Amino acid sequence: MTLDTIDRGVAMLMGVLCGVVVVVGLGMRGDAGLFPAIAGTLGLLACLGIGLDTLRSRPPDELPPTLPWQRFTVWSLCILGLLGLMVTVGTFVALPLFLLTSLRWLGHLRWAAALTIAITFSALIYVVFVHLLTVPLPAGWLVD
Amino acid sequence: MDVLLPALGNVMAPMALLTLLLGTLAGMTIGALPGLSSTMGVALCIPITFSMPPELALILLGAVYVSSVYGGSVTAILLRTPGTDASIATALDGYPLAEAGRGGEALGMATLGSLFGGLFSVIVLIAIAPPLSTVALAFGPQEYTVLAIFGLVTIVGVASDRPLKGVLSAAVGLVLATVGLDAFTGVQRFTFGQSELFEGVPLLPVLIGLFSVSQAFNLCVPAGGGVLTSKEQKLKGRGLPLWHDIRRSLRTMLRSSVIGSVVGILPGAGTSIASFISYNEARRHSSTPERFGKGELEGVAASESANNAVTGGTLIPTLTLGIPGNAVTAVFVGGLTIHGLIPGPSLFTHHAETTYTLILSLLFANVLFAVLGLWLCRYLVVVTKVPGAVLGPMILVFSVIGTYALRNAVFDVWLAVAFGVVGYFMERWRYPAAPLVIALILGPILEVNFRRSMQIAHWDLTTFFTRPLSLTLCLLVVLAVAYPLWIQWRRRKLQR
Repeated sequence: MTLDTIDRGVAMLMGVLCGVVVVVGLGMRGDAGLFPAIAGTLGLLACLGIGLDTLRSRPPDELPPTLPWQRFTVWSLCILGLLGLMVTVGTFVALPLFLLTSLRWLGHLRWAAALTIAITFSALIYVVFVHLLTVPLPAGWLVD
Repeated sequence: MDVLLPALGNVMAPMALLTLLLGTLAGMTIGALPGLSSTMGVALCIPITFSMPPELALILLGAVYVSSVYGGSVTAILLRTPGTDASIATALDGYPLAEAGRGGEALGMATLGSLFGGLFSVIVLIAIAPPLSTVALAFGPQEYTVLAIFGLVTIVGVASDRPLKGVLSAAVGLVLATVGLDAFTGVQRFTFGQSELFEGVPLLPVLIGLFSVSQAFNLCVPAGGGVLTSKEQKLKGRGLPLWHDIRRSLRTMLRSSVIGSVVGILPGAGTSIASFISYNEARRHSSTPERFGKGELEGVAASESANNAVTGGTLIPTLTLGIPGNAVTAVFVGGLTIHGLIPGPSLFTHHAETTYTLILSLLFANVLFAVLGLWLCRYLVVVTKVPGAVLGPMILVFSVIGTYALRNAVFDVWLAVAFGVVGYFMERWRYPAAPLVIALILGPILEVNFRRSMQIAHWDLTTFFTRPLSLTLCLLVVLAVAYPLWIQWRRRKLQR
């Protein structure tokens, strides 16, 4: 997919969203919707401009670097796992698990190295945020 | 003077000096790591400052900001891998010098140039900011409306090679800025019933998402997630340039510092623009222009003086008018607001001691990074050997925990991660993130002042052209729109 194709898709999607913002804005009570309508219109015009710009004849646009979907999916799942586990089983179970998984699968570190970094970094986070800054991080089932 | 002395006392306190040292070291390390920007460094530090007194918080943020700009030069010279885009011009002459066995001299000149530029810009900040803040006290809603438009127009113009993408990014930022309860009518706008959005889209999770979480994606996702650079450093020769070389470069450093400070004051323009302009000017004025690009110490001095001179310059409109000129000062605004400091003239009246603490700490940070830089630079290169896929998860953890720490809200964490994904794809598809963030900050200023102006003037739009200050700013807006268009038209005409 070339950047022009992507731009066209982005312009269409954002154009629809900006259109919705304008319509909703114009329906708001008093002048509350004036500014959303102005911002939405600006967005609509920009989308229109981007869309028209992609139709202009010019030398073929370069391709953006290919997205490694597999790594992107693994990484996204790791993050979802981190956020999910943080509020359920607790931050200090979720953090080392997330780091261990990411370092092992994405960083291809050895188990021992990944485990050492995961535990050390989690301990550092504990010292900085819980001990020094007294932030009540989600404890999940650990405390319950 | 009655404010400067207590501010100096604040900076000289043991805890402040320790914060300054840690901030400088952190900034240098972040700057040296290719792919990690000053913006990301400052954004990551904000959650840590949350429980600090405002003075210490600003000292930390200021130290990270100025030293990260310098840190990029070390890897630019020794590895030809600029840590930040500010140091791309430095690599042009720095690396050939390192290859010729004069890496130590190049680093010494980069450090001296950075120190010169940094100190110059802080002096400019001290000289210009207070009088400008006095002028800003005369600003009414009309002036603030036009000023916000000026800030938006300039950032859109320079943030991307395709300005329409900048306009779309700014429009999205403006739409996001309207989320929450309307201050005038109390109407809920685009909150979808979420109480977390009643006060608007929280700025800091958006900043951390766009600049830190997206960076974690950039480091982890590429196949291999490899070592940031595998090049071998070339640090040989004497540690400092000869006095003759320093004396020869003094005029270049001064010229570049002036350029850097002026470019810094202009919204939108950044460190890389300043360093390239200064580099070209240094070559134009040199008696040996043919040596530029092949290993000329003056080239290193020009680039480094300019990019460090930008740091003080960018803070002038941010602190006095509340108008951030680029992404890193936008993050700075976020750092100020969580401590109850509203950027604008009040910083120099109600919070003068805190503001001068920040300004003086910048002076100290410049000296500190120069001292540490000369001593530590050869070891700093080691950090670039850390694989991206190891650094990425750590940055993500820090971003997630830091975002949670801001309001103890899991909602903010989800927001940061969502904006991280958006920021990752924006970068891939070349949509600039800076206009979005600046529009998110300027949106409320623009809306509130526009509606206030309209209430005062009974919806008469000519009110913006009848006040001298407002009219002057309107002319600046016209100039900011017309100048890039004129340049583009002239370039096309020449090409034909």
